[in-house]
This record gives sequence, structure tokens and C-alpha cells, in this order.
Amino acid sequence: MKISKTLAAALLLGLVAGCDAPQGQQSPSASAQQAIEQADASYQQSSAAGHAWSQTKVRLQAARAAFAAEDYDAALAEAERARALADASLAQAQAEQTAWQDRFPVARSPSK
Amino acid sequence: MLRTTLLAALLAGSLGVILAHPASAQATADPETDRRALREFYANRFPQVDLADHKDGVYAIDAGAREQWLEMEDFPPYEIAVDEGAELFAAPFANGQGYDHCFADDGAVKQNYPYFDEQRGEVITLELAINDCRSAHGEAPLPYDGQELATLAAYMAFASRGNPVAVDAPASDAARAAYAAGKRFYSTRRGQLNFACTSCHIQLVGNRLRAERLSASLGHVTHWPVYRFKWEEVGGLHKRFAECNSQVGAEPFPEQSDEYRNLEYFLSYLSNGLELNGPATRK
Repeated sequence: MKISKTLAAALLLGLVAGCDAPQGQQSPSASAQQAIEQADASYQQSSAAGHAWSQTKVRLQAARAAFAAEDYDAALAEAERARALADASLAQAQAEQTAWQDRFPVARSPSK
Repeated sequence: MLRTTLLAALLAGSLGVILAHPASAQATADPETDRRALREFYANRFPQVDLADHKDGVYAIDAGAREQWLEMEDFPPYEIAVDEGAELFAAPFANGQGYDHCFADDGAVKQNYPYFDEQRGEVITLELAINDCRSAHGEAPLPYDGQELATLAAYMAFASRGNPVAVDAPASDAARAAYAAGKRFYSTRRGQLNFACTSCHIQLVGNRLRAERLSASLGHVTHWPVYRFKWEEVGGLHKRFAECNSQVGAEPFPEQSDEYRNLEYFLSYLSNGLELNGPATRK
């Protein structure tokens, strides 16, 4: 009985401690910060490729503003939107590597 | 999660390719073949329009808009800019010399711009040449998005009216690469709306986008700078390039950036032979 009580107490302590900071889970501010950094890195890549989209920057700025206001849920959501836009613009840059070559008219008549 | 990781890896890998290797087709662009192809395309698309009339831009293909434009030409809103530009052109620099030391024929030289400067390895537009002239005479360069440069260019466009566009064919590998970069920019989809210049000016040319008729690229360079009612001032071609990029959700490049100068070089070569008729008025 004594052992069971001790064990129960230990389990409870562990559970409480686990609820407070589950292993591997980030705080909301750290999650938002990481999402902003990832979105920014993707945005910088699209910018370097000459394919940045204007809304990506807008969403990134909104994420940073929300982060500064300590609204980490909003910051995370905006950063994820920015990341999605930046990734899509990178996919566009990739597709356009060759796709652009077929868009200009081709002469049908022989040269004079 | 796996799909996201895979997508990210693919993107990262392809980006490396993007940054490291320009498309091989750039090297194979043939300007004269492109010019012939574009003229042929518009001749088929607008059989009722004489190719030379494309100098008037959208007013060559829209009778109603043309009528309004001709009436606006009775009291053109760019007139003040031309007068101010003429005064600026004639005003001496601090060293006593002036723009006429850099530009022959009282500035009626727009037909020769842009050109590829082999020594500098870059495209020189009229706006860049104006600032080069100022720097050579100890004057500070003018901001590319400012009105002083726009009015000077408006005067020089007016002085050059009637001269046919006469841009030299790219003669070196470097010049051909600049031309090819312009062609690639023109043909590449950008922005969240996924539009290339070709989307509006080749694929959909002549159709309406809301209330506006989409213009042909033949003649796109003949009438700049332009007084746009939307801007309420005179502005240059690169300002319009930036606006086009913004309209499709792409981040614009700076005026006189390499990207826009190469694009202007490409478009100007295609319009060789068309009469200059700038400055002009647009909505």
C-alpha cells in the first residue's frame, strides 16, 4: 500500500510536470518565431530567384507585427501563410525555367 | 509531413539549379527572327491594322479609345512636361556645358536607345544616359522615379518624334545575352496571378481585361514617357513595367534595374522601324 501511494505520487508529479512542458513541444512564441524564420528564408530564396510575390512580404510583416504584439497564434498563422506563398512562388520559378521558352510566337513564313 | 518534406527538398534542389544555371535557350535567341515572328503574329491577329500603326499602341486596335485619344491630343496633358523638359535640357550645368554636349540634334536621339555598351557590358537606356551625362559634368544623378528625369525624357521624346526606332542588333555574345534575358523576362510567368507579359500581350491581346483593351507589344516602346491619368504625371516605361508586375502580384524590380533595361532592349528591337510618337497620353 505504501509503495502504491509513493508510485501514485511519483506518477502524478510526472504527469503534472509533463503537462507543464511536454517533451519536444515548443512554447507558442518559439513556434511563431521558428515559423517566421522559415517563411523568411523561403521568401529570400524566391526573391533571389526573381520571383518574389508581393503578398508574401505583406504576410511576413503581419506575422512580425503580431509577434511584436505577443499574439503568437496570429503570428504563427500569418507566418504559415507567408511560407505557403513563398513556396508556391519558388515552385513557379522552377516551372518557368523551361516553360517560358514556348510562349513567344514562332515565325511561320520563311525569312526573306 | 513526408509530402511537405519532400516538396521542400525538391524546391531546394531546383532552386540550386535556378541560381546556378541560366536556361540554355537564352544563348539561341535570334532577334531578327523574333521581330519577324512578332510582326507576323500581329498581322494575323489584327489583319485590319497596318503594322506601322501599332506605334499608337492600344489606340491602333480600339476605334472607340482612339477617338477619345485623338480628342485628348488637342490639349495634351503632357505638354507642360515637354516645356519644362525643354527648359531643363537647355539649362547649362555648373561647368557651363549642358545636355547638348552629350546628345546630338538637340536631344532628338531617342530612336537610338537603348543600346548595348560593350565596354560596360550592359544596356544603356536614355534615362541612364541622361544621368551619365550629368555625372560626366559634375552634376548629381537624378532619381529614376522623379519628375525632373521624366520631363527631360518627355522633351527628348518630343524632339525625336517621327524618327523610326533604330536599335542596333545585338552584335556580341554579351549583347545577345542581354537581349535573351529580356526575352526570357517577357515570357516568364510571375506573381500570384501567374501572368507573363505574353499572357496579356500575345495570348489575350486585343481582348478586354475589365474595361481595358490589351495592347500589342509591337509599338510598346514608341510613345514613352507617358502622361497617365492614373499617375497624374508623366512617367517612364520602367514605371509601367513595375506597375504591370505589381498588378499580377509580383514584387516589382527597381526602375533601371538590369531586368527592366534588358526587357526594354528586347522590346525596342522588336519595334525597330516604327515611328516614335512620344510622349503620349494614357488612362
